[in-house]
Amino acid sequence: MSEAIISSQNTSSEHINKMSVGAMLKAAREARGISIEDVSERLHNSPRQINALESGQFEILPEPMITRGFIRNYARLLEIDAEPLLQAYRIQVPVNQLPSINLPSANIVMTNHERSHWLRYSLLSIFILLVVWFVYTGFIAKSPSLKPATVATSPEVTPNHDETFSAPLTTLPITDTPAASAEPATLMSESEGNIETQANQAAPVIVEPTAVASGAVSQPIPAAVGAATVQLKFVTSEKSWINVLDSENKPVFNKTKPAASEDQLEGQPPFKLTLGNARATQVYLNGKLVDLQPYTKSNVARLTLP
Amino acid sequence: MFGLLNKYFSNDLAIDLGTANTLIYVRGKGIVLDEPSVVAIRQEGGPSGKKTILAVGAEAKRMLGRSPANITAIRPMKDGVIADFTVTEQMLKYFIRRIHESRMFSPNPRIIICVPVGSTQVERRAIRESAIGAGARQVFLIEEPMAAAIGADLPVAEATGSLVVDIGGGTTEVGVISLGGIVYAKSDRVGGDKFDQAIIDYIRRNYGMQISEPTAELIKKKIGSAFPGSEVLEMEVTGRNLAEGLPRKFTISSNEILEALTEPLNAIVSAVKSALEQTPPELGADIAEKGMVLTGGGALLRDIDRLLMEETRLPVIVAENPLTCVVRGCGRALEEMDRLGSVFTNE
Repeated sequence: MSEAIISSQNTSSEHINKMSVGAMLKAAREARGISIEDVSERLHNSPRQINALESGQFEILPEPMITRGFIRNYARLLEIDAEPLLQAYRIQVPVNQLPSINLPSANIVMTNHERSHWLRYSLLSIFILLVVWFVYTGFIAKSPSLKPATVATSPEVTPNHDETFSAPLTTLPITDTPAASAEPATLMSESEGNIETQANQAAPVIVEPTAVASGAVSQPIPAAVGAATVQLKFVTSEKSWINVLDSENKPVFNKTKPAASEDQLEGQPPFKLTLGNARATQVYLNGKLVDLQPYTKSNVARLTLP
Repeated sequence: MFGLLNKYFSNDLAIDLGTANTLIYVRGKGIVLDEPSVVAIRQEGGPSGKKTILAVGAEAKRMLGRSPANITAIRPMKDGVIADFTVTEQMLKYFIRRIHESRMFSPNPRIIICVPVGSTQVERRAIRESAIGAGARQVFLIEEPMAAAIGADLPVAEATGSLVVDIGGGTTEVGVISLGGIVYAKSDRVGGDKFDQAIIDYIRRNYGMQISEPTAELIKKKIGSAFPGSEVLEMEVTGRNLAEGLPRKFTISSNEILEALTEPLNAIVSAVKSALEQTPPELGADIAEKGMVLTGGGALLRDIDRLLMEETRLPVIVAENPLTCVVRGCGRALEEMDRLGSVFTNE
């Protein structure tokens, strides 16, 4: 028996390249007269795995590292040197570079869906609000220059001017009053179709009084702004928010003014005023200081002028 | 940018701080140090009376059991964890200084250390602290079964179960690993040291002779076996006769050593069996197909794979280079540290 083993060992070492691992193992096993079942019983590998080793079907065996272990165990059982077998195995199954350990990952981070929806909606609504605010402020910036010119000549508003002008404006020249009071009479009697011509007639009359009153007014007033308008002046001693709506509830003036600023506004009364910092704001209606005290509540004044 | 510079200047280390041996792996260089975990300390007399480290590693191991009263050779690790904090820190510092040349601006190394899976939070904290004390910038811990499985080239990241049994100097770690994580792990404080102690106890009981630990270790390596083999080996041993108090020679056989080792071997077998009991059936099927893999110094005990094979009726494979499996696994984890977050353990 032992001679057979030695001879098989010799042949295996001589014919490393010629004989496959499986053939060497099978030859050694048969030389010892052991069946596959006996080997399976000793090594606790299944007969299927022993058969696969002997027939060289390494693809159905586990990883190379495990298969090398099986070959070592088998060789020790057959009492032959494992090294030539392992060399032959390495020729048959070339050992490539160790693969890097790749933990399976799809790289998707779990998130709470409801929360992401909530976030998305809130971001969207903030964006919409921003857009609305930009459009709004951009529109307001343009509107004050347009408003007086178009609205000034509308006939419905003109009668009011008599009262407003006659009561507070005592300093204005007398020539202004007859001109203004004369206008509504002619306007009311005539058809509304020729408002344009009326405005044109009124214009030259008003040029004079504005020129006279320009002592109090810093800017030259456009010719179209006539007796029908009132003048508002805001003087702030601290930062204050000022919002003015005209008779049609359209915003005429909406700004946050810094401290020590002065602003003027002309247009069709009545105006709805909201002052954010009433204590630090003075309002002049046609040059006369308005007492804000009755309208102020927790430093915010809401009033309608006149 | 600083990360790249740091990578360039510092050598990151992976350390297997074992009860018996300490191995160090340097990124890009491989295993650079393999020394016994032994420190020899001399207590100086005279007015200063300070303690100095005489030797560390293999040199200190030769002094074990042979030192005069003022020199003590200490094994600072016991049962896989730190028994003497200060000495462990000094030993680590010595080893790191030996392999990590410090340039003026080089940063401290990052260190991966393996810990037994059954170690407590306090024991892990002690290992972490000692590494920081020895000059680590950052310390990562990895559990030993995981490191051993990576080092043995088992397919740890795949959806297949692998059973790894790491028999070290102080502990035996049994772990079932799948998908880059530990499914079940058990640590038993049985290992090479317990084998040595069992041999010492057996010889004292049956021969009335006292032998030293290094002699017991030598007997274990030469004629120790875990399963009755066809050939019986014998060895001549010298010990001190307890009755006479004189050195005497006697001969001991491998069958006697097998009898001596029965108790610690049974502990290992029952640890493996309980791991198999706790393994989910799907992974159990994978393990039955591939068998279990033995690593660590204990895997070199003759026929220990035969014993486990017969006890569990499963194929058993001894890993290639079982002594360095754990440190090689730590080293691979170090090389791929940025991607392998899940193999590390917290605290």
